[in-house]
Order: sequence, then C-alpha cells, then structure tokens
Amino acid sequence: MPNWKNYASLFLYHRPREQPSVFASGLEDHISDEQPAETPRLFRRQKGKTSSGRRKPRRPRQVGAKTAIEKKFHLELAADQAIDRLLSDKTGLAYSLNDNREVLAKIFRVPKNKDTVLRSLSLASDPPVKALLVFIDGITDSLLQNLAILQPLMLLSGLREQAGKQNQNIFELVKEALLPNNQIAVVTNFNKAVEDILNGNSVLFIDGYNQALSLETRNWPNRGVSPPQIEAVIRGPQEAFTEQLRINIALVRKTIRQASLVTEFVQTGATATLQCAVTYMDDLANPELVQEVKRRLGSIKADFIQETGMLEQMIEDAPFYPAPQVLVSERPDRVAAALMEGKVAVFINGNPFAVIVPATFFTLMQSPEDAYVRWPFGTFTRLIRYAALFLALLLPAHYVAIVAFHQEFIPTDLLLAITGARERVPFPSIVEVLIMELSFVLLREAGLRIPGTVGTTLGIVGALILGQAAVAANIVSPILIIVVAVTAIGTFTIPDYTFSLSIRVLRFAYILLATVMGLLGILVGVFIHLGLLVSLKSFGVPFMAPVAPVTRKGYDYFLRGQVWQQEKRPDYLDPLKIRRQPLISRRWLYPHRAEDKSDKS
Amino acid sequence: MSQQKPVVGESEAVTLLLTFLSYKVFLAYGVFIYSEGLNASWIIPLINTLLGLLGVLLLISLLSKFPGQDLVKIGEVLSGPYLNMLFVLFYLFIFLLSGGLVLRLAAERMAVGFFVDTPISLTTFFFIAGALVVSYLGLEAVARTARFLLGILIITAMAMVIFTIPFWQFHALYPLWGSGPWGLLKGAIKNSGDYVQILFLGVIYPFIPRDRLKAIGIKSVLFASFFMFLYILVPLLIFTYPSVTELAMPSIEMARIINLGRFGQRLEVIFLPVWVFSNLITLSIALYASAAVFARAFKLNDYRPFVLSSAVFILVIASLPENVSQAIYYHYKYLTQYSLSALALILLILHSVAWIRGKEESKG
Amino acid sequence: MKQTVFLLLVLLLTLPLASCYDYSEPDEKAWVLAIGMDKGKENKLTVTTIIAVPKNIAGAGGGGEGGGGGGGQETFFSVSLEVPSLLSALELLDAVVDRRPDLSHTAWFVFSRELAEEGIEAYFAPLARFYQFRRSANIIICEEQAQEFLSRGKPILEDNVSKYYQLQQQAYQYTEFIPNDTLHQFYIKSKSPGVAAMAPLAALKKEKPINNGAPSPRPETDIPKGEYQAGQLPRQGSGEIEVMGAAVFRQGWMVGTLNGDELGAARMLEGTLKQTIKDIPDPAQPDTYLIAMVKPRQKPQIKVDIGPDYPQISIELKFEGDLLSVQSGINYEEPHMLHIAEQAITQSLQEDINKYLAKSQQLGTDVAGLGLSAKKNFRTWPEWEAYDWESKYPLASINVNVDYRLRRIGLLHETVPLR
Repeated sequence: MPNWKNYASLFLYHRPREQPSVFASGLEDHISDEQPAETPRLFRRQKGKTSSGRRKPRRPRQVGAKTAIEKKFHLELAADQAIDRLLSDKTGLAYSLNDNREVLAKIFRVPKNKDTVLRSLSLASDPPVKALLVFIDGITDSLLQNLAILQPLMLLSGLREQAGKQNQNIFELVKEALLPNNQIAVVTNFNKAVEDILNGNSVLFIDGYNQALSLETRNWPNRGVSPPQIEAVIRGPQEAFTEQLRINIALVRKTIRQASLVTEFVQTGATATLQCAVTYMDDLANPELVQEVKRRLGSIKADFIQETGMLEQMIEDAPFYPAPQVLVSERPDRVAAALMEGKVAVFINGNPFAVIVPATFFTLMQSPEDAYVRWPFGTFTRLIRYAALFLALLLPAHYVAIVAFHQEFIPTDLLLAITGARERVPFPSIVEVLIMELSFVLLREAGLRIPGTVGTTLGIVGALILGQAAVAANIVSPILIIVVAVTAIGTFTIPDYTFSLSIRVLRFAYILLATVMGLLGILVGVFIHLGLLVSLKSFGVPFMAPVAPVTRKGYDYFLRGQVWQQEKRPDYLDPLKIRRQPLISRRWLYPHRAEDKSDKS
Repeated sequence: MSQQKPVVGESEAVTLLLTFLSYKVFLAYGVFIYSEGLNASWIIPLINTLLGLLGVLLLISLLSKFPGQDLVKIGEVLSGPYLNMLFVLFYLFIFLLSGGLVLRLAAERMAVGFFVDTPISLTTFFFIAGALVVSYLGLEAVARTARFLLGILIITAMAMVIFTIPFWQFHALYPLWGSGPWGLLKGAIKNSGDYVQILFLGVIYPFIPRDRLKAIGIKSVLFASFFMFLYILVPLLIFTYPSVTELAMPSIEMARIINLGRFGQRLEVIFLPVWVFSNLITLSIALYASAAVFARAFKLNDYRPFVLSSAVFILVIASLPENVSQAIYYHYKYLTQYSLSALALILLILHSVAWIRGKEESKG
Repeated sequence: MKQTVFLLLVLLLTLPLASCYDYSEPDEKAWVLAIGMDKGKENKLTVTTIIAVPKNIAGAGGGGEGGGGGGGQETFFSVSLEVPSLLSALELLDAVVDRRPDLSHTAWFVFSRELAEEGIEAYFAPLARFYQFRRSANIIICEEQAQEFLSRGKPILEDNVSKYYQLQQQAYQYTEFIPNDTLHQFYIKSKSPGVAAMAPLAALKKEKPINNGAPSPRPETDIPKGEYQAGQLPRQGSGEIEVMGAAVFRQGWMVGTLNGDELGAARMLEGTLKQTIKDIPDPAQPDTYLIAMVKPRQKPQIKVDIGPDYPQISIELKFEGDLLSVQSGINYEEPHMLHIAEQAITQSLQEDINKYLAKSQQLGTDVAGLGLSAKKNFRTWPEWEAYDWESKYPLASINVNVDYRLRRIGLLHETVPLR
C-alpha cells in the first residue's frame, strides 16, 4: 500500500536544494561584479576624438589581465611556475641531501602524490653516509632495486672495512664498484634527474655530492596488457587497463611523463573499504575540481563498492537524469588526453576501467580515434556519429509518427509501396515497431549472455527470425526491418557504452510519445529532454557546455579541427593553464615569426 | 539548478528576446498588416523596427540607471507600491496574454493541418506540459535550451524562405507605395505592439551581463525585425497582394507550397520543429516571466511556486476565445495594436519620476 | 524517489489512454490521386475520384511469395458521385469505399470544359481552404467529361497513376505546348488584376485515328505542329490522354482555348518558357524546314506606357538556340549565311507572338501578364485598381521586338548534298 502522503508531497512546493557550485561559471561573458557599475560601456563616448570611421574594438581587453581563475589560484600558479623554471633552467643539484630532497618533493608533489617514492637510506660506511633513492612506483622493478641497489649499498658494500682510508670519494666508489647495474649515468641537474625518474630509472642521491646516479630499473608494463575490448580503434595504442591499479597508473604515466602527474589515494566505502586512485595533472586541473572529486569519494559510506559502474552511480550529480555524467574508459591514451585537458581520472583497485570526470555531452560522443586520423575524416566520422545518435534515438519514433500521422509527407510512390506492403500485415504499425524493437533488445541481451561456443547459432536464429521469417509470415512489413536495422546500427555507433544504453531506453519513451501525438509528441519530448540536459551538471560543469551555456569554443567539440588549431584547453573546465600550445605550433612554417611570439604565449 | 542566481550570457539573452519577439511570424502574422499596407506591406515592419528600437532604448535607459534591478523593483522604488501594482498588472497582462494566445494559436495551427481529429485540449496539454517542465527548471534551462535550438530554428526558418525562391514574383512589389505613405505609417503604428515583448528584458536584467545591456536590447530587436520583415515580404512575393490577405497563417502556406520535384512535395512536416520549438520556447518564457513578475511583486525570492499558477492562467486565457478568428483578433486587439504605446507611457512616467527625484536630490 | 519513478511510469502508461485520435494506418485510407468535376445529371456536380489500389501497385515484391505482379490487375479505380459540392463527395465516398478517403495526395483536379465555361469560382474555393488540398497540385481542363477522361486515362509506363499525372504535367520543362501553371499560379492569377489565369488543356484521344477509312485530302500547305491542341492530335498509339494547349479564363469563366503555338507565345511573353523546338519554312526553299531550338536569352523586357486612352506596350524578347536540322542542305552554318536563318526564325517567332496577341486581345484575357508590368506606372494600389487594366488591354497597341541568335550548329558544320 503506497503512502499517499508521499505522493501528495510531490505536488507541494519544495525549497530548492542548494548544491555548492564548483566553478565560477564558464560563460563566455562573465557577469563581473568587480566591473564599474555606473555607466555601461556603450554609453561612454570617446570625447575629443573625431569620427575617423575606424571601428573601435568591441571589448577592449587589458593586456596581461588575469582571468578570474588566475587570480583565485595565484599561489598554486606561482609554485607551478617556479618548478617549471627550475627544470627549464637546468638548475644543478645541491650538495646537501636535504636540499635535494626538498626540491624533489616539490617537483613530484610529494606527499600529495603517492606514486613517487623518496627512499632514504644510509650507506653501510663508517660513519654512515646518508643517501636517497628516488623512483616511481609501478614503472620500476622492485626486485631489481632490492637486490641490485639497496642490498649492495646497505649490506654488502664493505665500506666499513675501508673506513680508515681518507679522502676517498664515496660517490666514485659507489658508481664504480658497488652497484651491479647494467646501466648507470651521472646526473648533475634536476631536469635530467626528473626526466630519468619519469622514465623508470631510480636516481640515487648521496649526501655531500652535487651529483646523482641514475640507475636503470625500468619495468614498464607491456604485453600481457590486453587490447581494448569496448573502445577498439584502428590507429592508436592497442592497450587497455588491467585489474592492477599500479599497472593502470603506470600505463597512464607511460604516456604522460611529467612530474606534475599526481596520484592520490582515497579510501571509499565503509564495510569493505576500497582503494581509489585520483589522478590529475597538478599544474592543470582546477584544484576545486580535484577537491570535489576527493570529497565525494571520501564521503561515500557504502557497504561494498567494487566496480567503477557502482562508483559512478555513487558520485554522479543527478542519478535521475537520462544521461551518464561521467566518462568511463578502458584506454590509457584516452585517460591521458583527458588529464592533459585538466580533467580528473579515478581508478579503482581491481577494475580495468577509469572514470573520467567531468563529462560533457560532446566528450561522450567522441572517440579517441577522431584525433588520430586526419581531420577531414575525423570530422566526417563525428558528423556520422551525431547522425547515428539521431537515428538511434528517434528513427523508430519518426517511423511511427510519419506512417501513422503524417502520411501526406511521404512521397506518393513510397506511400503506395508502404501501403501495399502493409496490406497483409495484421498489426498496427506501432505494434509492429514494438515487436521488432523488443525482439532486437532480446537478441542483444541473449547475445551478451550466451556462451561463446554457441554464439554463432544466435546470429543465424536472429537473422532468420528478425529478417526473413517475420516478413514471410506477414508479421511485419519489410520497410520496418530496414528501420529497426538502421536504428540498431546507429545505437552501436555511439562510442560511450553507458550513453548508448540510456539512448536505448529513451527510444521507447519516444515511440510512445509518437504513438500518442505524432511528431508533436516527439518534439515536445525533445524539448523537455533538452531542458533537462542543459540544466544537468557533471561535477559543476554544465553537461551541454560549450554550446549551452555558450563558452569559448575550441576546434574540437563538435567538429574536429586541425591538431595545430587546438591551442586552448576547454574553457568550461577552468584549468590552471588555458593555453595548450602556442599560437604557432608548426614553427617550421614560420621560423621568423615563431621566435617573436614564442615567449609571449 | 544548483545555482541560486541564474546566469544568462549575452548570446543566450539575445536568443531569448529574439524568440520571444518573433514568435508571431510562425502564427497568424501579417493578417492585419497586409490589409493596411496592401502590396507594400513589407515597408510596415521596417517602420516598426524604428518604433521597436525607440521602445527598447527607452527601456534600456531606465534600466541602466538602476544596475542589477528588474523593472518591478525599479517601478516600486520610483512610483511606490500602489501605482507600481498597476504597472505590474500591465506586465502580467502582456506576458500572460502572449503566452495564452501563443498557446491557443499554436494549438490551432496543429489542429488546422496536422492533428485534425485530435481535440485541441490534448494538443494544448502537450504544449503547456513541455513549457511547464522547462520553465520550472529555471531561466538558465530556458535560455540554454533556446540557445541550443537557435541553430535549428534559424536554419529551418531560412530554409523555408530559400525553398520558396522559385515562387517569388517581384512584380508583386509594384505599385511601390501600396496604400500610400500615410496608410503605411498608420499600419505601422497600429502594429507597433509586435515589439512589446521587449518588456522581458526588464525581467531578466539582473541576470545578464550589465555592460552588454544595450547591445543585447538592440541586437535582439534588429534580429527579430529581420525575421518579421522576411515573413511579411516572402508571402507577399509568393502569393501576391490580393490573395495574400486571405491567408490565416502565411507561414504554413509557405511551407505547404514548397515543391522540390516529385519527391519533395508536401514538406510542411519538416518545418514542424521550427514552429513547435519556437512556440514552446515562447511559452516557457511567458511562463517564467509571469511567474517571476508575480514573485517579485509579492517580494518572494523564488519564482517557482508561481509557475503552475501562471500555467493555469495561460490555459484559461488560451481557452477564452471561442474560435480561431477570435483568437487572432484578440491577439491583434490587445497585443499588437497599442500595447507598445502603453509600455512607452509607463516607461516615460518612471523616467520622469526618476528625473524629478534626481533634481530634488541634487537640490537638497 | 520511488514515488517519482512510479508516478512517471503511471504517466507514461496513461499516455496511450489519451487515445490516439489522429492515429491511422496508411492501409486504412483510400488514397485519392485525382478528382474530376462535371456538370451533374441528377445533382449539381458529378465528382469523380481516382483511388489507388496499393496492393497491385506494390506488386510482386511486397507479397513475398510472388502472387503475380501487375498484369491485368487494375492499379486504380474511379468512383463518380452526383453531389451538390466538391467536398460533399468526400463524405459520400465513405458509403461506397470501405477505407477513409484522403485527398492529400491528389495530383490533378480535372474540370470538364462544359463546367469551366459556366464558371468554376465556386468549385475551387475549397481548394485553397481545405487542408488536404495542395496548391502544388494541377488544375486540368478536359474537353470531354472528366469522369470519362479520368477513368480511361490509364498509364502505360507506370503502375502508379499519380506518377503518370505528375510526369505528364512536368513536360512543361521541355515543351512550349504545356503551361506550367499549378493550382497556385492559377489561383493567384485568378485573383490578381493585370493577369488572366490559364490551365492546361487535356482531352482523350481523337475518335478517328489518322489512317482510318477514306483519307481526307491533305491540305495544300503543311499544318504547323503548334496549330493543334489537345483532342485534335492526329496520332495512333500510346495512352488515351493527351495534354496540349491551354484553357483561358476571365474572372473564373473559361472563355477560350490557346493552341500550342499561341500558348508558346504566351509563355515567351510571360518569361516562363524554358526551351522549345521550332520548325520554320526555309527562306530559300519554302517547302523544306529549318529546325531550331529556342531558349530565352534574358527575361522579356516589357515597357508599358499608360497613354491617355489606352496603354502602349513595347516588348523586347531575346532568344538564342541551336540549329538542329537544315532539310534543304543550304549551308546556313557559314557565318555570312547564319543571319539569314536567324532572320527567318525571328520572323516566325514574331508572327507567332503577334498571332497570340491578336487572339488574347480579342478574348480580352491577358494570360501573359503584360498588365503586371504596367503596375510600375502607378504609385499606389488603389490607383492601379482604378485603372481597370482588363478593360484597357483589348485596346492596347503592342509592339513586339524579337531577337534570335543561333549559338550552336550541332555536330555538322556544313551539309554535302546528296549525289
């Protein structure tokens, strides 16, 4: 027996629930309260200036003006810039081990970043000499480190025996005699050290020396990692995440070899806590976004979360809305690309998928391959994909609407053909459509669950039932088979699996609307659907950005522009650095101009 | 949804005003203009543009004196709560009547050619349901939905014009002066209320970029006037003067006549989206605007409790006319004819009060 | 939240209860492809509707088991009803035809000449108002009874009779003998001052084919091909229907017909002619023909001077075209000879146009719309209406200037005589 009071309360007025908005809205035209409010700019006339016919610039921009984001996070930005300067200037190492450790911790964002390990040790000498081994967990071989670095240095060095000898260069000794490593190199500046660490080497710093030893320990995960199952591409890396959290992060790190790539661990869940890794670029991702992701993950009190799909449902903004609000990917390259835009990725231990937030409609419709092929085809496939979305969502509904309500629209020849084909079909069109759509859903579900060995039978049965037999038995008209087939193909073209699932369900709602009110029903449905989508937010980012609300658009949201045109990161993410690449990225084309502009951008 | 104070960007504000001003071009537009301007009726919207610009400038100059406040509040500051209540009633009258008659005429247009056997109440229900949901979601939702659909609206509206080019007969423009200069001027003044919906700018002013107020007002009037001009001119070119006056909804007939060969005939269904979306956006705006005016008149922070009641008002107004002719005449009589002058009168009163106050302050 | 989902489901499920008022299957409708109107015998009108039989049109492909395609099966049938008005037939059809008649795919409205001569204003009023009718359909005037005309007019090439109707009318694109006026043009021309309406003229095949019975003596001079109009073509074979020439209307009454050449001239003046083939007696050997393609080079330049009593119209027409055939073998292709051919064609065109103008002035119908150019002389519409073009047109003095240029000479550049 339902509680009728609860139903009544649905019609009563509720105070709107306030949710913290993560972002300063990324609108193209900010309402800035700082702006002088007295007279709008258009009223102001430049006095004393004769009308020379030259157009005055519409919105004069102050040169070097800081954006709201830059003002808000100026401390973080200053730290990032200091690090960048340190690396690009090739600053030499310090003599003091503590100084070196401090700088390295800054560079690798330790202790935030849990990937980078700063291992302190003492050399087995007399008196003991302090040393520091720096490496990144997951891309180094820990067995090798233990046996070939730590063991000789700490236990077997025999340095104590030589204690008497004075003026001995421990550094040279260590390098020449103590480390049974196959490759070893001397590093003198931070830039090189960081580069080597990111490449999987372990770097050994010894107190009192402004040099360090770079030791070959790299152990990248490679084959054994399997190719992607869901997001297959032709061009591009054929690697997918595995069930190992460390390997997954290492796979991302393989693409982004940057010190600012930070991995933080958050414990989620209550009964059986689960280790989540939050990965982001420390110098790109908006700190508030990172904070929000960690807040949501950390606050979850659930019995048992074991899969990204469950996690996704726990952290999304609006569970009742008809669209996924996170992007789930199994591809390291896709995660890397998202991180480089300033997004945040969440990994779960034991799960081969990464959750990328925030997700917008346009990112859900993109495939990593769009960027790997040349732009004409990339653009074309995207257009095809949007057409496919339209077909998958609305084609059966349109079929019902047009065949049953708007027959005047059908060309006479086609109309008579449809009518003639329908003469022997006993069902109304809507029943025909439902029969076919439902049997297709059935077939799909069966195909997923069927054991692989009998899988081929299903194809034959499906093709026979859905195709020929249904027509021959006069259950459905042949034109409808085409409609259902095209719809199915359209559904499979949508790159995001979760998104295509929600499209499948919504399709039936549209069919129902079309049955009642023809095209008007569909259009009203689309209007409401759009209204819901534009008011949807994924981690504070409007779902339909950058189209609604309008923000500054790059060349990569609807169509795909040239790679060298994509100069800025998406505005709606409010990244710490908006510019991705300088105005002139193909410098070989403009060797002279590139030099002028390079330092500005 | 999460933000308390909605933010509407410049292009979104222009879209809202553009759709709200030009919803009429897809309805019974021009019925009274053609009988005033005869075959030179296309001049009337041009003259009207000037009137609309005058109106919007008057509104902008008032708003810019009170940055960040809406028209209801300004009216209260200037003229006190009692006189302002009269003004508020006028604003409500405009919004509710626009909403109600759009609803009725849109449903009638569906009934006349698409859903002949469906009772008009069901069609009306569909329209109001769509608009209700979106306007309940907030101004941001309305603005963004409108902005998202703007491309479709403009492309389809232009396609409707472009596909009819083979039917244009330029001799229809002669004799050049139609009913004569005085007749045209009279027709323009009689139809000046086509621009009364700029009033909406006074409602959304707190949410738009302040420094772009004037640009938003002027842009939207100019864009809207372009479409109003086009949808007077093109039927005139296609159907030529004496028979163009017969048409109840010229835009439907424009769509029906498009003929792209044997396969591409009877295409009006293709233009259904532009009609339905334009009317749905207009309805949502009318719902939101009247609810917002209600809320501000009663000094409430949230407009949402009033959305449903506004919807009821609009439904009542939509069912007031007994037949479609009456609906068309109501639209002409109460909205198109003199409402802009009434709005201008209110704005002038407020202006003069502001001016007198300003003088007093500078003295004291 | 459970409640929300439940309510949503209930709402969705109640949607169909709203009952689908306009929902209708295409196979529950009778698709009317043409409507004919005659003077009634018992009632005011005889309305004939042509209704498609889709199962025979969809043919063998649709059935699956191949239940015999086309063959002798009828693809349409006609129903004639005696009714007081056009739309009352729609209601009465329900009594006769099981499916609900739908007029939205009607391609032809056929009026019999008999009816048209009594005025059709009352009958085409619903064509503009009723939503199922389209202004892109055609009005056809047939010489016989529309009932007979439509039911005998079976297509040979098509199964779908609507396709036949539309393609037959679309021939206006490559011949001058069929007007391109759809219902839309017919309607607005009927209502505008300064132009008269015309409609394609159609008829059934002549009863007596050419070589049947005693041969009548061939006339002394050849009959130009444009002298014919529908119902007079000497022919054998093909379907029953022929469309050629135009019926001319004045204020809703049919007042006369234009034969092929006259219609061609009217379309040249109107500026709607796309292309046509002219055969002109060779200036050197009048019993042989020069055959040339005629295409407009620019829009007709019509200047109307409103005189004190009657208008003076000067028309400049410019054409170009190809030489298709020279029967006499004279080398008109040579540059110094070309102008002789051009002159002959020009003269012939001029004669045709003059003939048309004389006829239209005599009928008092300005179907070419010369009056539309006269509008420019007036400042306001009331002035123009007061001028009353229809009464002035028959008295107008018209001066036509034709200019024809041969642009191409086909694949030959000279003719070698037969030896």
